[in-house]
Amino acid sequence: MGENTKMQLMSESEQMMLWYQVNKFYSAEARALDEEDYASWFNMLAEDLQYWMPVRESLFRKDEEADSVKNMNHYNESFQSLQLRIARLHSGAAWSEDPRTRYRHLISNVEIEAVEKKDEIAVLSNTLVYRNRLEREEYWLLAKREDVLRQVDGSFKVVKRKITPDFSCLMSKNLNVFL
Amino acid sequence: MSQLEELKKMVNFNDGRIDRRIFWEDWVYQLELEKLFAKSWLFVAHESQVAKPGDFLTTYMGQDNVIVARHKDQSIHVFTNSCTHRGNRICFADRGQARQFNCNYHGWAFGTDGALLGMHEEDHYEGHINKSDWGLQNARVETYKGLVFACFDDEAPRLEEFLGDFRWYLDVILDQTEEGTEFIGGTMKNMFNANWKFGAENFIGDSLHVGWTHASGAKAVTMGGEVPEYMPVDPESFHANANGHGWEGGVDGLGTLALVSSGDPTLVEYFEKERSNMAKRLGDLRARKLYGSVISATVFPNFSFLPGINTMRTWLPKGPRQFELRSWTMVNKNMPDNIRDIVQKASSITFSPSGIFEMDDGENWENATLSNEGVVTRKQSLHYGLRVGTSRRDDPDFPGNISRPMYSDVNQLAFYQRWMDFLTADSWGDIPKVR
Repeated sequence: MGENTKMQLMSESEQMMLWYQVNKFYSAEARALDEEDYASWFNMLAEDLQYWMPVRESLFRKDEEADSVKNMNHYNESFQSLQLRIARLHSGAAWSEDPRTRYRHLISNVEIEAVEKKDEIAVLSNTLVYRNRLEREEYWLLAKREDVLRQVDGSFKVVKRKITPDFSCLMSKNLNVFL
Repeated sequence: MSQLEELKKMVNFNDGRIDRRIFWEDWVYQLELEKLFAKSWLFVAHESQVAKPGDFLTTYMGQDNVIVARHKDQSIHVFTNSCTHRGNRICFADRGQARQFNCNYHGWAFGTDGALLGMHEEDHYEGHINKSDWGLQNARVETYKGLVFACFDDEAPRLEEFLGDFRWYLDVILDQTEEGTEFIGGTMKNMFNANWKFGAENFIGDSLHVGWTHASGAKAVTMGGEVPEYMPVDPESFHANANGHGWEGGVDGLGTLALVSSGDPTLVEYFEKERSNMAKRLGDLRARKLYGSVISATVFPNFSFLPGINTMRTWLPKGPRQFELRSWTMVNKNMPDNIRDIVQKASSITFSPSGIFEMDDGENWENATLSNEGVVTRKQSLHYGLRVGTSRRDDPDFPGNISRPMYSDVNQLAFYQRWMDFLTADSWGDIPKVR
């Protein structure tokens, strides 16, 4: 049975309920990231997480190629390596995060694409991340997210996330944020 | 006072004092473009990025956009990316494969050697143009062990002479194996609202920022384990500089490898096995004591790298208060996939825009630049006076000008000496060949 066929077998109200649950999960995740509540965020991630954000380039259409983790990546992370990144922030010595950066994550265009395994779903979404820092620093990041979410205890955990940014040159001095 | 006389007073090499206006003034920046970036050899690519005929990439020499292309005769050409008809940019892709480059405006076509091949409705031009006069401006191109450099000045010495004694240090990362090196695919790009020299001088000699700026990264790597409160001063650690290029670091052979391993012994074990092969090419000193140590380096003026972490990067100027950083990870061609993967991930998690070390650098460089908007602030000079004048050229082991330990402003001042050489010279004839 094709994956999308499985989605079609769900009733409209079942699909609506799933869409509502996913949106509720994404709102909670966005709030955790806005508030730098990484303990809560890690509870939303599976321990076998693959978290990937490739670098984009401007290529002629004929030269376009599939993204590969073998090329330069903004992120190519496991659960453990994300913890290492967060440990920097919690070290008490991240001078460039004090005063804190003001973050806002907006998640929209949520589409549940297919049900891969019995307890997993594939979800497409767009994210708009706003960063404001110190006096006048202001940066916007837009990206597509392709997730695999696992249903656990009435909620979800992110198993896979591919973040495809819409920039080729990051317009800021660093990428001190998760998307 | 003429600008030239004013400029000469901006760096006091005896006391180690620098006038902040070199990081701020538009006229100083315009001099840098004309007298430094248009005259110096500049890193433009790794040969592996343009491996086959027709492969190309676009980058900048100063603020001149250039195409780096492999021609059908295998030679690498570097030429301006601007049509000789109305000046439009010819190639808008970061990289790719092309037999020729066609301008979008009127269809003028240029070869992978920059020659004008023809144009749309070419019949109209019969008797009105000599095509061989209207090719793109080619730079001189030379390579050093995989790295491609280009230069817009015919009077410049050969690349080997420009690099001088610094080749001995470059070989530590470029010449470990017979097969040589390559860049992994893609280019990381990001912007800083800072003067480009802050990146270059940080990598050429700033050992003292490591323990403080990067305290958070160091604590993260040990995941709450023991972190020394200060970095012990290793008296053997050193600054080396030659012709304005510089290298600073330790001689323990392990610091960087341990740092990027985060407790996984795979990488250290791999290099322990490789070191005897490396030593056959590089000798024990470079293979066992230099490679693997915490080291950073800059090839004058704007190409920097970290041996071991293997980030290679160029600080592209975009005005006195803005630069673009382009960076790549370099690996040995003969590295097995799992080692390549470790190096790539280690490079990304430490020194990339999201890296736990690099993340803290940008804010320092931006505010070191932007605080000079204050006219009163700008008048106070900066201290570059740590261990000034302690370098010697006659070290028995190391070529170039050597100063110990690595905690000093020696390399930074050598960088600014070379910078001053270029900015105050009318031509290459006025620039000392050896510094």
